[in-house]
Amino acid sequence: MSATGKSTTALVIGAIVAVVALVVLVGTLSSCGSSVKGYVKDHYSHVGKRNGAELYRSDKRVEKVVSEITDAWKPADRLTDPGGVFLRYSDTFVAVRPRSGGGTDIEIDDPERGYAHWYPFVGGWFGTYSGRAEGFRGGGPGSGK
Amino acid sequence: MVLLALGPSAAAQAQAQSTKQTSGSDQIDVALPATTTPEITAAQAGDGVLLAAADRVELASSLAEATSESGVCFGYVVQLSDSGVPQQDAVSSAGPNQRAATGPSCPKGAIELQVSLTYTCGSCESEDSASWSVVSTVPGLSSGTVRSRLVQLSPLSSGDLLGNDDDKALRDATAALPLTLDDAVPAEPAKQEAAPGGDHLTGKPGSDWLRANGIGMAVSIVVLLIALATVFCAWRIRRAQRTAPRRSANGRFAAAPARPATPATATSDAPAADAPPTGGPPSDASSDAPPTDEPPSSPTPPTA
Repeated sequence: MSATGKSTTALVIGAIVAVVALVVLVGTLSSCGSSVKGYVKDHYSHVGKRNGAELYRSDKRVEKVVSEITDAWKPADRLTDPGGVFLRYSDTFVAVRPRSGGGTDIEIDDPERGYAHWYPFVGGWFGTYSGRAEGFRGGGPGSGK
Repeated sequence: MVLLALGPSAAAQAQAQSTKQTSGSDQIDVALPATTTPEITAAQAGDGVLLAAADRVELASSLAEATSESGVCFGYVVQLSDSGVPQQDAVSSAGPNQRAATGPSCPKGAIELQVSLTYTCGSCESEDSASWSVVSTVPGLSSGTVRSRLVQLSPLSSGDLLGNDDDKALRDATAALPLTLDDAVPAEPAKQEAAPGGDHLTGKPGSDWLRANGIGMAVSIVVLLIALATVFCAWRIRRAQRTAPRRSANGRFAAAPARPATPATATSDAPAADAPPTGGPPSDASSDAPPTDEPPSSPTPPTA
C-alpha cells in the first residue's frame, strides 16, 4: 500500500474510532446524576415503605437481583449474610433479601438508618460495633482486614 | 479474650457433639456442655488458615442459625498446601473445626464450600494458586446450581482467595450458602432508628457515579485522544504529500496538481527552463524541466 493509501486508511479508522469513543463518552456522561436509587426504582416494583425504608419487590431470585444491582452500580462495600446481601453506597443503604415463598425484597434506606436497621448483621463491618466481638470486624469501605 | 455464644438452635446441635481445638500441632477434644448454652471461645476455636478465631466462631453461629431454619448444614473446608505440612481448616454449622456432613443434625443434606490453596516459596518459579468448588447433598439442588448461584451472590475468584481480603472473601462466600437454597429464609431488620451504643458508620464512600463509570469514562477519553491524534497525523501526512513535488517513474519530478497560473507567469516571456518545476500545466513540456540545479536530461538517448 502506498503512503497515501496508508494515511487515508489511518484517517478513516481514526475518525471512526473517535466517533465511537465520543458516543460512549457522551452516553456515560448522560448517566451523570443518576444513582442506585433510580436504578432500583426503574427496574423493580415499589410496594411501599417499611420502617421508613422504601420497599421494592422482584419475582427474580435474590442472587439475580444482587447481580443486576451490583453490575449497574458497584457498591462501596458489601456484606453477605445467610439472610441477605447488604450493599453500601455513598448516600444509600441497600438490603437485598429473599422473600418467603419466592422472589426478592429490596429495601432502600439512608446509610445511617439502614445501618441501624441491619445492625445485627452489618454492625462492625460497615462501621463501629460496641456489641459482641468488637475489634475483629472491619471498619467501613477500604478498611480491609 | 473474645467470648462468643452460639444461638439456641446451634446449642441444640452442639450438645450432641464435641469440637476439636487446634492448638499448635496438638488437637484437643473440647466437650461442649450438654445442659447449658455452650460457649465457644475464640481461643478454643483457634485461628484458621484464612479466618481469625473470632471470625470462625461468629460464622459458625450464623450458619447454625441458618441450619436450624432450613434443616441443611453449611460449611467450608480449606486445604492448604505449601512447603510445610498440609493444613486443613473447616467451619460449619456444627462449629469451628467441624465439616458440614449429612446426619441427624442435617436432615435435608449439606452444602460445603471446598477451597484449595497452594502457597509457593518466594524464590519458586510457580505462583500461588487457589481454586474452589461446591458439594451439595441437598435433594433437588445440584452442586452446579449452587455454584452458579454462589457466583452471583458473592463473586469468588482465585485472586480474591489470594488477596489481602481473602478472609472476607471466604467468609462471605460461606455465609452466602444458605441463600442458594430454593426456600432461603430472609433476615429480619431491627426496629430501631439508630444503632445502639452510639455506633455509627465509618469511612466515607467515594462517588457512586465515578465508581460505576469512572473506568469507562477514562478509557473513552484516552481512546478519543488517541483517535484524534491519529486523525491529525494522517491529515498532516496527506497534506504534505499533496504539496510535495512528486517524481515520475523515470526519476524526474512529475507535475504537481494544477495551480492557477499567476498573471506574472502568464504574461512572462521568460524561458520555460526558468519556470518552477511545479508551475506549468502537465501537458506543457517545459513544465517537466527539472530544477535548475539538476542537469537536463533528454527523453531520447543520443544516437551514435
